Amino acid sequence: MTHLPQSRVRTIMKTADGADNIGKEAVFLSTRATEMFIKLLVKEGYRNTNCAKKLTYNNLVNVIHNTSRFEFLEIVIPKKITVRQYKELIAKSENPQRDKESSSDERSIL
Amino acid sequence: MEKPELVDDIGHSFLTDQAYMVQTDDMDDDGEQLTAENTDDSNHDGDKIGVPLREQDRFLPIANVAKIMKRAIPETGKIAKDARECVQECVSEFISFITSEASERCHMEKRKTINGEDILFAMSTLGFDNYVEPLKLYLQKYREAAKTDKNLHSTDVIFEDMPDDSYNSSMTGNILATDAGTAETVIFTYQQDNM
Repeated sequence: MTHLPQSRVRTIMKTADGADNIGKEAVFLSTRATEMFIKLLVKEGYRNTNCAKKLTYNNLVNVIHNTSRFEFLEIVIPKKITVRQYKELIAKSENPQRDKESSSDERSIL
Repeated sequence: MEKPELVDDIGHSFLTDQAYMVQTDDMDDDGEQLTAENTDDSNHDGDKIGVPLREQDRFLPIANVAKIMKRAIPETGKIAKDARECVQECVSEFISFITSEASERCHMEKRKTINGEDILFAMSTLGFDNYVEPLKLYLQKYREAAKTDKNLHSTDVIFEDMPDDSYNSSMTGNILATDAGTAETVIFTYQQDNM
């Protein structure tokens, strides 16, 4: 009836706080909702590819960080940055004046 | 005997915010215990707080997830591996996000079992209100299927899912019905409420 295994959905549901007893219908509905959620996320992400025709992590990240109903995913799905970018960010936050002009994305701190 | 507490604590932080990225230095030992669960006999099996013991149990099978993903994009489109894994993680997060909300409502109303209504309610609270209508339809079909499938069995099962308060919220006339007849009555009134 569903495309995802309900038993596994139930297991994951049980990881939530205080969710010890879960009715069958609740599991079923969550499974269905999950399927819809996957479709939604993928569709939005795919729109973000701009005709590249390949959905990547970064597309999903962009969607997640720009959509309020996906806010709860921001912690689990962080933006990827390179070590160099990271170091730049640190350097800038420690010393905002110094290398303002050296990088293109100074807006992110200001 | 401080050990169980320790494990519980970690379980919580694992499951809520930092779920899949935890590499904390100071909890190294216990973290390993959690992931290498199969090899030790310590006390987190069959736990009430429901720590998912094996790593793979915390996620839905990637093949199923990928199949649904594929169906959501045009046939010419492709999906990178990292995107698949990302969605797989998102999905687990989504499920526990919804369930937490549902469980909270359940507790507020002093019930023990999370039912379908709780899930629908959580959806609309958390910004997925457009899921509620289609889900109600699915639920209706599900109930019909359950009823015809195994008649004797299904009444029990459905009744189990209907906690007492569904009377209060949806029923007026039948509250006084005798115990003997309740299973059937509850099912019908509940449906009416939904539609």
